[in-house]
Amino acid sequence: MRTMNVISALEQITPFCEKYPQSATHLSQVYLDLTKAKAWKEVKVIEIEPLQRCVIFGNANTETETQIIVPCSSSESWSIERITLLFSSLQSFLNKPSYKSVTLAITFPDSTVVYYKVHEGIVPPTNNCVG
Amino acid sequence: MSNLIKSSLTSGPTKKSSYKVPLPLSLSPSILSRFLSYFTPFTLFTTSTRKIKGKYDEKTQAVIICNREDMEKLWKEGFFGKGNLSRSEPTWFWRNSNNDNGKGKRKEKQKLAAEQITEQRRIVRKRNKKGRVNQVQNMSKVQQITKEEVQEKEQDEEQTIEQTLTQEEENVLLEDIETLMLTTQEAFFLCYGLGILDIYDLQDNLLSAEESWKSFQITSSGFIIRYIVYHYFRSLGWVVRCGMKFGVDYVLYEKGPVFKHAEYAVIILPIHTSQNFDNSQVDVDFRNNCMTSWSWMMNLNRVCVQVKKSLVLCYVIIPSTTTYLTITECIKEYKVRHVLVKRCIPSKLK
Repeated sequence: MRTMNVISALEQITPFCEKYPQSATHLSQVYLDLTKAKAWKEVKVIEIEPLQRCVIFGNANTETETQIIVPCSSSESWSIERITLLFSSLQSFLNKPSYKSVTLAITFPDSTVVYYKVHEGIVPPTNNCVG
Repeated sequence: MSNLIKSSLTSGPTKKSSYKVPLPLSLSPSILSRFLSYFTPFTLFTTSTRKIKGKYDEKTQAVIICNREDMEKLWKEGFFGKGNLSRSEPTWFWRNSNNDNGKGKRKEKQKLAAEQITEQRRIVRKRNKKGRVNQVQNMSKVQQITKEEVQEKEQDEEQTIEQTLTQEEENVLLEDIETLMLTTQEAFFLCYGLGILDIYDLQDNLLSAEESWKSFQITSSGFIIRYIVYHYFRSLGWVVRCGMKFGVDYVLYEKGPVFKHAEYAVIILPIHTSQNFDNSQVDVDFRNNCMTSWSWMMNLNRVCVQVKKSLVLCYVIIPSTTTYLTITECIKEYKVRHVLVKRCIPSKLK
């Protein structure tokens, strides 16, 4: 019974999981984490074909900006080339002004998800309190 | 459509006084058998209880527990597993259903789950930080007025945060979809080491210990090495949990995550002794764990000190022969040695 309800919660991403089976597990883990555990208001899955993976556009609530979340597994290694490719693919594929930062959502088999923000270039530290 | 009514089992995060049993075993009540258990393997004197059912999913490399009672038992008696919608203890359903009985303020002595405690800490930290920044920025202005404005703003923010934490009753028809995820090491320990877990595959076929041993190795070549370390520290009485959040392999708790923060962070360093194996080659699974340089060591130690843990380097010496008859013989051949690393300043040495 319980697994059936999870399946209905994951309905939105089933076509993406079928198309990219390699990234199905971390995509579903991050999707569940954002929609259920963190209860983000808006979560949209976008396919990025040149990278052969999906990314998530999400808003924690209506006030914050949209963030790009890139689900990946802890066994993947990210080199500078790969990160540069990620940024350039996002820019060219989405045809929007360049995104300065993405968030890597790194998953582990026991469903721990660790989020790391990656900026393109140096970002000066902000002194204000709002994180 | 089950679980619409909050079951009595989901009564919230477990109270500290409920963590009485260190492992999910029930010893036979007779005093004689307890006395004898000091001399012979203790599993002979445990009363047989129903085995827990877990499903092994090869793609996620986790064993999933769906039954609510089993989830609570595994967490309460040994801190095994992680709720897939929670930080550690599977409390998602309790946190999201109406956990203040009646609208309005929370009761004073209300239980709080780990996530809610963190949320509160962050509010306090933010408030303190704001206070400090305001003091710096508004030195020339009249501080009284600014402080009042800041306090009002904070109160508004706190109220909105509290509102988002409590769920509106009419919109919620929650079903408990959370499951407990066990890593392959935890699951194998429960199955082989303690004998209380039955592992099934996705087609509902029961896997024997040998079959599980082989399946777990297929998707992860470092399974045996990680399992040896897990088994080793668990046998010594430590609560072993995933160390990914701290950049290490495992963290060790003396009693459990709810009592105190972990004291030790463990890094696994495999050493191959086989003649055919080139020692400079590193297992793909452990490519980040190798003594490449002192700067690697400094790096790691600094991170551990920041999170108030001592670094333990755990060497696993891998035997040269690789074919074995049984799992027990295989495990016996591996050797574990550990070293504690602490930075010290000579002038401060006592």
